[in-house]
Amino acid sequence: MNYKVRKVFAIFILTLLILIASTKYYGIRGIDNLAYVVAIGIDVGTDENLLLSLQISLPNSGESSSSSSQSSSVVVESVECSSINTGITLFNSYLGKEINLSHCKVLVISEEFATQGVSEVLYTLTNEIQFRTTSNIIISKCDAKSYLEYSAPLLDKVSARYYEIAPTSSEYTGFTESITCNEFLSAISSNFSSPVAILGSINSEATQGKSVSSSDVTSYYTAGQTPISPKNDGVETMGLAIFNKDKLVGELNGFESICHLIISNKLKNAQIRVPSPVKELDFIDLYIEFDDDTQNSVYLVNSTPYITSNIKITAKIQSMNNNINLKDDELVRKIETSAEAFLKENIVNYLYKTSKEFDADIDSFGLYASKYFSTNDEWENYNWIHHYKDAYFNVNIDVNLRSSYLLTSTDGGSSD
Amino acid sequence: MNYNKLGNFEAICLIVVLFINHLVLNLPQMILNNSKNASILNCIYILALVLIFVILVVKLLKNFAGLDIIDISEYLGGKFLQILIGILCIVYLLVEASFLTRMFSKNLFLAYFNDYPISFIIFLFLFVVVVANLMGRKSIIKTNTIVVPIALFSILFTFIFVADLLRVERSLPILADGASTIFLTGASNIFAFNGLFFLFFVSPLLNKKQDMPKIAFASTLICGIFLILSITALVFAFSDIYSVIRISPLYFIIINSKLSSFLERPEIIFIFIWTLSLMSFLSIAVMFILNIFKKMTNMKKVKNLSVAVCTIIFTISLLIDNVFTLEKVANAFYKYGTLVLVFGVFTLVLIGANIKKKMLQKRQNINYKE
Amino acid sequence: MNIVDTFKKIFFPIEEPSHDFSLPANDDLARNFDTSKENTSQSSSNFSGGDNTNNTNTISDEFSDVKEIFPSIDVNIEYIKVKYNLLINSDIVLREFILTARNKQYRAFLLFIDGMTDMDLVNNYVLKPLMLKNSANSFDGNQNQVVSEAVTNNITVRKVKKFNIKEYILNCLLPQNNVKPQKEFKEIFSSVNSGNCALFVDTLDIAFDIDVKGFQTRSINKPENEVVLRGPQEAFVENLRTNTSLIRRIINNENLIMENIKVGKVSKTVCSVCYMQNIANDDLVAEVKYRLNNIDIDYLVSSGELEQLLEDNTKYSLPQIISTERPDKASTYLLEGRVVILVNGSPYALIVPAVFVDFLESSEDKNIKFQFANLLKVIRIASFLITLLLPGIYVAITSFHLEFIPTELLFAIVASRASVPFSIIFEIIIMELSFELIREAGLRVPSPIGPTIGIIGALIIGQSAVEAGIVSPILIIIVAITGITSFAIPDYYLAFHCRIWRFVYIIFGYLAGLLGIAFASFIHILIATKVQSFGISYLEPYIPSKGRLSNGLFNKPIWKREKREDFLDTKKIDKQEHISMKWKYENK
Repeated sequence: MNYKVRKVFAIFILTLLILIASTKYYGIRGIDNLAYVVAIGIDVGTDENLLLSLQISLPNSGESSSSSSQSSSVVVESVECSSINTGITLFNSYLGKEINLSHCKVLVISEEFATQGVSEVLYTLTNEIQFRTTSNIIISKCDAKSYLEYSAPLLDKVSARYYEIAPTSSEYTGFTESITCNEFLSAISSNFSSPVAILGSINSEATQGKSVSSSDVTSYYTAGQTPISPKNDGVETMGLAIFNKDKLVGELNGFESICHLIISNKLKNAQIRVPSPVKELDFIDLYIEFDDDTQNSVYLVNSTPYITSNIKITAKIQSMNNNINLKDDELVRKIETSAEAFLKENIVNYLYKTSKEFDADIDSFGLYASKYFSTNDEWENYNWIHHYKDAYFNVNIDVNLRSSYLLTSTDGGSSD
Repeated sequence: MNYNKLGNFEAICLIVVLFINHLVLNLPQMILNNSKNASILNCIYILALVLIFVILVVKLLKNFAGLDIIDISEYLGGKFLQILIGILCIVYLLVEASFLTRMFSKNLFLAYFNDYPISFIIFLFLFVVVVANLMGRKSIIKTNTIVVPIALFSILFTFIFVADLLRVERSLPILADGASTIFLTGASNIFAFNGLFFLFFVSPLLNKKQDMPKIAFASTLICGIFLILSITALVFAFSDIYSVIRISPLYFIIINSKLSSFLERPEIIFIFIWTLSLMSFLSIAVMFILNIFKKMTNMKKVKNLSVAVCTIIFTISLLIDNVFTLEKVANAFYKYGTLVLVFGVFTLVLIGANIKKKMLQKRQNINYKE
Repeated sequence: MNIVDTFKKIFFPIEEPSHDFSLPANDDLARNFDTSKENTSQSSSNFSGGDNTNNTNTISDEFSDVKEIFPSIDVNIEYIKVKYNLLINSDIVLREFILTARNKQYRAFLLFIDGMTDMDLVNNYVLKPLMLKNSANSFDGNQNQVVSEAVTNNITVRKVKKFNIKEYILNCLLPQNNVKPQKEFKEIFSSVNSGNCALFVDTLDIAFDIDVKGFQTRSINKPENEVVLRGPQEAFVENLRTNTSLIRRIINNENLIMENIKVGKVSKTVCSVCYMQNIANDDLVAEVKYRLNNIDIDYLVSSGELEQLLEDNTKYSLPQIISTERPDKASTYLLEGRVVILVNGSPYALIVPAVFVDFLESSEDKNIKFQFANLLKVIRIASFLITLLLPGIYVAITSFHLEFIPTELLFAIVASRASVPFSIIFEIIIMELSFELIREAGLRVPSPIGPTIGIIGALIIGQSAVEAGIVSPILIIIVAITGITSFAIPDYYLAFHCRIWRFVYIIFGYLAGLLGIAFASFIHILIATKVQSFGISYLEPYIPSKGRLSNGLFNKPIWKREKREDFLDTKKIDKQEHISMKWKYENK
């Protein structure tokens, strides 16, 4: 027994010594010797294939300030390179610290680069273990480098946190969708659907208000057009970028992305502005939510898709004016009808835009169509994306005006 | 109280642990490659097949309660067959253990230990296995009983992670590459249940021998349910899961989950749990190798041979240098080794032994009558 | 063991005959103990002659074999003088006097130890009735004692008993409740040593062992190390009898057995094995008694020593026996069917067998509602895990798994470490060691300056080290959390176990990140499954599982605790009726 204990002990000590000795030999990625990338930007290079920009966080040493501020400034550096990996290697030799992608939050790709196809970049990054495929993918209307440079957050100190939080704003605006690289990639290689990405741009006075349709509806803006007056130019995400396979084909504005969210069942809540049924050129603000999940169905008529969407929406009135009595059933019905007509028109327009103009099934209707085929070969031979172009859309929409907020009537309840 | 024998739960865990290790590594990808989006259908089908197989095996084993396949082969064909089957089993376990270690270490190696040589990680694994085997059978089995439920929970969690992404439509078109790939060539997917290997060895260790059928069915069902669960998660949640091949699909699910805001990348917890389950399996494999060896050679003390066995595993696991070749060879061995040994040789030996027993009984009866 | 041997043993691990160079049996006591039996008859015949010279030096060896009391009082006196070294031993009292019985006088003497006996008792109830003339001893009993009387044919036949001085003294002259006539010196000495007094009378080959114990003991205090808010506030003391009475008062049942077993050849420490006769498993009781009877040591002072002597696996640092200073806790476990061992001179009772979940249970848990108790248990499990793993995981994550940390936290850590010159592993080992140092120093210093250590430690480590940029503030937080959680573990030994294993986890975390932690925890689980307490698996009632779970880690509501622990295999399984709160259902 004693002998055995001694033996085990000796083995243990020896192994430990060997292990400790060998770890010293191979070294450990020290937490202090790394440069943490917060965002990656990809542009078309002038000489080489691409221009890789990295936004690197510089943790403040917090010297003398006892408030233990986690504030960190960022630097944006860029390099012309033939591939992402060579770019990172070049950075490593230049910075003197090893680049670490494990805390990267967004991947920004310029519009120009995206039209050429993004799959290589994305698959390379996915192969990289450090890169999180849960990072958001943003298609920038300007070049990616300046997008990164201008992306100083307004309300946050740490830009990493800004990147984390900013896409979630779509949950209460609906103007865009928080799309991760992983979802994007999944859609690229799928036969059923086309990928979309977040659309972003620098918002400066030069870009604001350009090409906005004459309507008063604010949400018709796309990225970079919102007439906000920031002190410095900032970045903005609004709308969606539409891809066919891995190539950029078009973009959606804020309101169209609300339509997209409604059809594809992802809307949390949104605010829309519908024409008032009572007064010409007047509008009512509605806060909308799903009443029930959107039911999509696809029928193949002579191998042409006939797509039906049944949408059920609850709405609450946000804007009030003089002489509105919401206890009046007729008025409520009128508002509902108006909202239904408004939404239906826009959604149908949006759907035909995706099918006729972009030829991209971003709402995954293909999934519903695939049940008419029994094997993968049949489905591939059918070529869904090709037929999606000729699709006929039928949208049934049902808006239920449930309530207002604190006021129910402003005309003294005369109808009582 | 008799602690030297296995309770039912311990036995089930023993059978399930090998399956879990394959499930977190290469099993789902192998099934997905074969039957694409009809994998769920295929899994249900092979579960049914395996249940039929288990009924057969349980019936055949009934006549040999308390004997494992090594004893049965000795009964059938004397020392020669015993040594033959014993060597086959030892080789199977050795290669399984080596390839699993290598593939797991390879994944870890890619993921976290860029600077480390792969032999270092494998060495760490085998160090623990030697320690475990010096501790003795009881502690290995009890430890396994702790580890397996945790590992099963972790697989359940992977399902929960993707619960909001699940869409039934992704499994359409229903027949994928045609009925023949699912039901004819797909039948070979029963190799997924290679944990049944231990079913042939568990019998002499059991506390209650009459509970053998219960154990067999329970462990098969657990394997089947978890296989279907993880395949469902993969097929229903991702549309590109069979076009883009990843190192480990379950790992892929976790790194893509958006859940848990504090721990941004929870996958390391799962790697942690799966490391435990791999070590548990390795300890069990070495334990059984020694046990078989003991039976073949009538050696008294085999405990210390664990160092030798681990050295062999270490060597085999480093034999193939190229990762792509390794994956091919390991998958092929996993598939055909299991099919030949567990579903082929073992069954034949069992059938032969049963026939022999019946003949002997008949002869005895005749003698008795005369 | 030199290096060549080490390598040999590693690479040729064939079991060699082990060479245990234990010393030859030169232990005098042991030899005497063995040989005494053979020599008894011979030596006692030697001394019955009684014509020995009183040379202490030469006699002492020969006397050592004496077993039985001599009839001659002079020989007895000489023998005791030699045995107790009366000339130099200051507190042994040998009081010679003349005993009066039935108006006859006998020479007699009392032997006791000053300080261990109650002087009042000796004076008033031993010496007074024996020495002074009174109605009892001056009674001249010419009439013999009548044993039986039978009348046949008007002739009365009386069977009479002759006057017997032994019985007379025992029955008539000693007004004491606990008097035993003893024949052997061994018995007399051990009772004198424990505070009794012995009465030797001339011509008698026996001595009377009179219980007049009266030494100073600590009175029953509040428990100091196992404090509870709701519950009895009594703790065991050093005196065995007091302790047994504390338990008896709680259990209040005649089935409680308290067997005395002496451990230690020199100290002969009395250990009391307590169990419920109708509940505890017989095999368990037999095993405890077997182990206690087969401890071959010279002396036993505390229950802590006994605990280590009784453990199944001494290699591993996991505690395998519960020790408590609370009689209520000991009694609860007794009623559960476990065995309690009390050691004379030690205020801690040992409870066997013990499983892991017992060490996470505080004595308060049974007194409070199950919801509260279960919350506390969750907290204790968390603190157990944190104490064990937190520093190791910190090292592992910061060395290997940076992506695991939330981005802001990572930046905070990096920022806080900007001016720290050491690597994380070095930093954390230094800090953990200094924390252990502060803890140890705080425990050992005289209590008036105890708080100073804490202040110095807090000031130096907490403030100055950070300001000087030697350690990072995050690390201080880690070490502090580990320290606090280690105090939340109810059992002292378990906390110790965590403190040791913490360093193992740190080293493994440094070697291979969380993978290393996985390796270490696998070995840890292996050890926990290997350990047994009196043959009971350490992870009971979970592993090995038996389906029916009587009581696990978490407390059931009190009306639902129907069964005793399954692994104890008790004689009575149910501890309450299926419906224990009868008042609630009976009248409806």
